[in-house]
Amino acid sequence: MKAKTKNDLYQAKALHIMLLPAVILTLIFAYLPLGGIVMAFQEFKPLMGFIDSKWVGFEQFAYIFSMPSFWNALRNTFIIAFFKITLSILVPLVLALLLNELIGQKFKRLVQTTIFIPYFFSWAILGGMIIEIFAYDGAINHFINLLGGESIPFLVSNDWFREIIIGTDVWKGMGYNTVLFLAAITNVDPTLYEAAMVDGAGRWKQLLKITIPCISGMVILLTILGLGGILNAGFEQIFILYNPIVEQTVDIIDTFVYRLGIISTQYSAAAAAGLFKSIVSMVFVGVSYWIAYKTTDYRVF
Amino acid sequence: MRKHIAILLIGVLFSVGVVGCASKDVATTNTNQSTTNSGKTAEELLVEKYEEPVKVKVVLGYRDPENPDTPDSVTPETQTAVKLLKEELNIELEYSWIVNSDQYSQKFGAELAAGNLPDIMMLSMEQFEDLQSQGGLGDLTEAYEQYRTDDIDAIINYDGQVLDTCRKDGKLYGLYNGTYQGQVTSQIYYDMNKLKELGIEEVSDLPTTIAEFEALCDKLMALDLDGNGKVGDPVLPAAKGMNSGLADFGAFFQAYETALGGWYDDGNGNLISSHTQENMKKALTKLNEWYDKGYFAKDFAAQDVYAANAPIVSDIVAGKYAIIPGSWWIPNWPLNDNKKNDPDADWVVGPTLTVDGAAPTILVPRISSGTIVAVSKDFKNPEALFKMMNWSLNYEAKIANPEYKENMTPEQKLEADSYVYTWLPYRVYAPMSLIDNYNFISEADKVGKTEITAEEAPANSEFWGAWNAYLQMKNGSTDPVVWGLYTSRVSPNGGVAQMYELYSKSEKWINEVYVTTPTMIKKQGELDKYETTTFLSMVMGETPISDFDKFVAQWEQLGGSEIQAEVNEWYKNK
Repeated sequence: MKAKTKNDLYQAKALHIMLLPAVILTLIFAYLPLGGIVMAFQEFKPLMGFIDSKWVGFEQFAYIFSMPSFWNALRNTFIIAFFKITLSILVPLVLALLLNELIGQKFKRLVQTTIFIPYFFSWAILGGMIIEIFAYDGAINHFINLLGGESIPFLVSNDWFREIIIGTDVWKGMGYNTVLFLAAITNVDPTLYEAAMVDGAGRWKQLLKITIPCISGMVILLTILGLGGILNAGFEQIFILYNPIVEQTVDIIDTFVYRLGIISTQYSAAAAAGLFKSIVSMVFVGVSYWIAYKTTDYRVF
Repeated sequence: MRKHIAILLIGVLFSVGVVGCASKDVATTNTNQSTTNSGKTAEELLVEKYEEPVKVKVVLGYRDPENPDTPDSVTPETQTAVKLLKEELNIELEYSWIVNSDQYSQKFGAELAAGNLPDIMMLSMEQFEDLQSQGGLGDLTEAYEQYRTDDIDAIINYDGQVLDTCRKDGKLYGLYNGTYQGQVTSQIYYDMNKLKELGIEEVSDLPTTIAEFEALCDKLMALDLDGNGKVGDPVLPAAKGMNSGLADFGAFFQAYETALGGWYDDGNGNLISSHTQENMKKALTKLNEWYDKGYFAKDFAAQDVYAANAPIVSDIVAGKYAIIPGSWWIPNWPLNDNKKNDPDADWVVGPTLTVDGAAPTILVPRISSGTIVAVSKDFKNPEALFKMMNWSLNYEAKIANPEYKENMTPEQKLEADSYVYTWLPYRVYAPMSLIDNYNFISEADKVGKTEITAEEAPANSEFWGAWNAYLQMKNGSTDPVVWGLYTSRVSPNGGVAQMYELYSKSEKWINEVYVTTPTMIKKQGELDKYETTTFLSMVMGETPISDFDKFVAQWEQLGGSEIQAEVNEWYKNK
């Protein structure tokens, strides 16, 4: 038995060597920094290091829990992430179904490519554009004025900014999931449609009775996996777009941690907030993967 | 597998700890290394060239040069001063990182988290306390004793006491570079050329009360200043920095005798904070009215004047505003850029705004606000700081001297006029230089003097710049950079003149606190953020002003009360 394992290892030697860089990178960038978690239980002073900094137990957690802006950030994180997850499934799904009904292949390809383009741009580039477009004297307000409406200060409005954050994120990422869904649709057995046509089903019935049920596995899977990211509401995007006024509605745990840690140099309190987020996330990831396993037989481990 | 991760983790923790210890050992052996070159005066020591190159790690947050014509090839690293430091003192400046000034504090915080400190750094009072308490700063006592000169003392200890704020247990950990106290006051600049249309001919026609100011703004609202074909555009530039020195609310807070921070004596020996008092509520109420009237851009709070290519600054440069609130220096930037676009622009400082016509009591700090220059504990040559300071003071005075300037190549001259030496991250200047120079030049102007010898001139690096600007303006110069210098520093209607007048004539309410308490280090950042967000939100009407009392209660609960108790304790035992 033992000899066989050894032999297997030996035979797969090349594969293991190829895997090595990835393992090393993961160790350095994913596991090594875990050591920093100790600072959440300290009054960490960077120049004194982990050994000399004072241990304070759960004091940092009590401190962040006493901050109203922490709870505000937590609430915003859930709200923003929830809408981002659901809409980034629903919008591409509808798009994919609509694209699938198109007859002209050229046009279909064109649309597919066009909506995929924003996916490749970084938020640093899109951020400037979005701020310009939504500015008080920007394109959107210009359009509203043309229609006879009053300009809306989108960028500093707590009524609008969260919607802008969610909307632009869904817009940016929708091309990716659309392609996934389109691929799933192409995999549907064509004989099903032929049989349905023989039975007299129109396009609408075919959509409801064949296409949607056949790709539902994919939809459910993506939704469940998305749940694991419920506390990742998108640091980069919000960090680039937000300002003090709209913090009330778009400040998320990640931006909160950034401000507390990097700007106010409260490293320990920031680490505590980050650790809290990680623990909650871990629960969500665990549960969602378990559900994925139970419902769709998808296995990660 | 779990077990392996656990072992790995422990290994990681251990190695980090060991690294921490190692660097600490190095530090303790390094503290007392400055050599004692006995028999030499401080002046001789200061200009002595190092035999071996001394590398000095520095960091920098900087803004584009004041002169819009500065070539792109002039960068913090390529500027002449850096080359000369190497040639003349054998000091090599190494910039660990350089960012735009609006990102400086974030970058500094991020680098600090990794334990990275530059060799020489400029710190705020809070940062100084924090780093010193962690043992991160080097002892300057010995170097100071050896290298002190009257010129340097005139800057870092100009009143004979500020240096003590940097002493801990009898040891010196920093050099305090204060500023003229009057610099906390705010002004309002008016473009007289644009206001002609409204029948304003003289400075005396400009508003003196909030009500008159409001009436003027109402009239401006009805004009199309930027020529975009519609009226009702914003008339006052504003941004998220309520006290940033440009397009801020400072002048209005000043009229209402309030300020965003500080601890003031209530008359009974108790310290109270200014921004939680009734006056702040009144000021915010007025600003909110103005916001509703459309004086400020609807989304002003999304603007940052110090961001690279800030649209608000472009608007000012493009001449969209006839009124600009700010500090004494704004003619130097960005009004000079506006002047370049629009040579007819005629910016003057208007009268100090008041609520009821009675001159306001101004809120000023006991010890002038400033920065602290400090060295890292790992820096082996703390005396290099004094050499560099001395060198820079001489260099700045030299390149501004008209005789020296005449022999410069056009490139050198352009660089000198761009003030890129302000990019040196250890720079200090005489706190009273602005006032000394202004007084000196006004006197010279009275008697019609146009020739000054180096001996007569006030001994500070700022003088020649101001003097040249004065002479050139007299000779009818139309250079916007010269205009900026002249208007900020020399003109009787300009920045320094009006600041000096306001500061010396006004009643003062003193911010007594110049110490940093433990709760300040921990909570001031969050408190300030809460204050800024709430106030901006109140100006914009997102939060009703009636919530002001709620804000105060919340602010106190978040740590305001703790800080109040600490500063009062300190104040009573002072």
